[in-house]
Amino acid sequence: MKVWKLIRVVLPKPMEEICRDIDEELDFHIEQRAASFIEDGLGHTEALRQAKQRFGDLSRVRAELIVLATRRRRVVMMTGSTLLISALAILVVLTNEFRDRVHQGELEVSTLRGEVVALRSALSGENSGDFELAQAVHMIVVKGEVERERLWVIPHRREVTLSALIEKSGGLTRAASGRVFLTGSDGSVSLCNLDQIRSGQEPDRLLTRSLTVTVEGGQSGQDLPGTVSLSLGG
Amino acid sequence: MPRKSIDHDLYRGTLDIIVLSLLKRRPDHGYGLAERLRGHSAGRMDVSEGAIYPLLHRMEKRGLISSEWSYTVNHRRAKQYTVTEAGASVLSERTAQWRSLAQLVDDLVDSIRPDLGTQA
Repeated sequence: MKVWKLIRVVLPKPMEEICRDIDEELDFHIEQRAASFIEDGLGHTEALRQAKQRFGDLSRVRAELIVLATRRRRVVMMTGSTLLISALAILVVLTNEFRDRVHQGELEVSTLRGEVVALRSALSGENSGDFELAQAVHMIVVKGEVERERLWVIPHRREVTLSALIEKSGGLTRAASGRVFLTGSDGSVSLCNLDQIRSGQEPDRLLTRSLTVTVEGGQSGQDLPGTVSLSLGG
Repeated sequence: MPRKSIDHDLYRGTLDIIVLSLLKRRPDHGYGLAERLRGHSAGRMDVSEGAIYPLLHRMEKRGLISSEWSYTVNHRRAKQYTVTEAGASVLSERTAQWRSLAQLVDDLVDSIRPDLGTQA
């Protein structure tokens, strides 16, 4: 109801509605005055005549009210158009700025299921501490030996696993070793082996916070031992 | 002895204060305002009833009053006006100015009157 009221304030009234409201308001006055004259003993026709006489120049008042309302309608329409154009201009500027920042980080930005989220800044690479995160999302950079390096913007409510995110990033390149480093925003680093996850020897990782996933290249991960977790942060 | 009606030129410009004052006491539609204005002034203000509507619409445009359609006891749809916060603030400001002006005019007229008597 409140939203509808707000829309009604912002949108200008159609001219027919303006005229109908004015007529209804003025008719109400004449009718009430005529009714008071009828109570005083006048006949209906005479009461109506005197009511109009006391009102003054009805058509002039009506015209004046229409002019006033039309002027207001014009102001509302101009204000609305100005606001709309300003909003579009801001959107274009922000979009360009966002795109520039993303290009600086040489990353594509994707959201799971296309959720639209507000980003306060884009990423620039290795250090996830550079990220300023929107409250309702976490961001995961997938980089290194994957087909498509990406910044994933994921709503908190959404659960995604490491192997699924790597698949969504196009999978591993031929040069990938299978070793994956997960760097958290607090500086902690953990290592896991994608091959062992795939073979069921190691449980898949549920990615529930912002981090950088770096897929290592250059050597086979077959010889690696199982997952090693180490903390570099304080 | 019936009281004389006030010259229209004298109260021109003060009608908005009177209307704001009436609406501040109680929200009302145009007809109700015209009735109360007539009652309070005891017929001394010779205003055609229709003149109140452009005034109301201008005041609404300036944000001094707001309007809403409501239903009367006879189930008749009527546009009811209410004073806004901005309107209440303007009312107290204009009332103080008006009282000050009225006092000034009063003082001046009283102080000039003996001179007029001497000249005569």
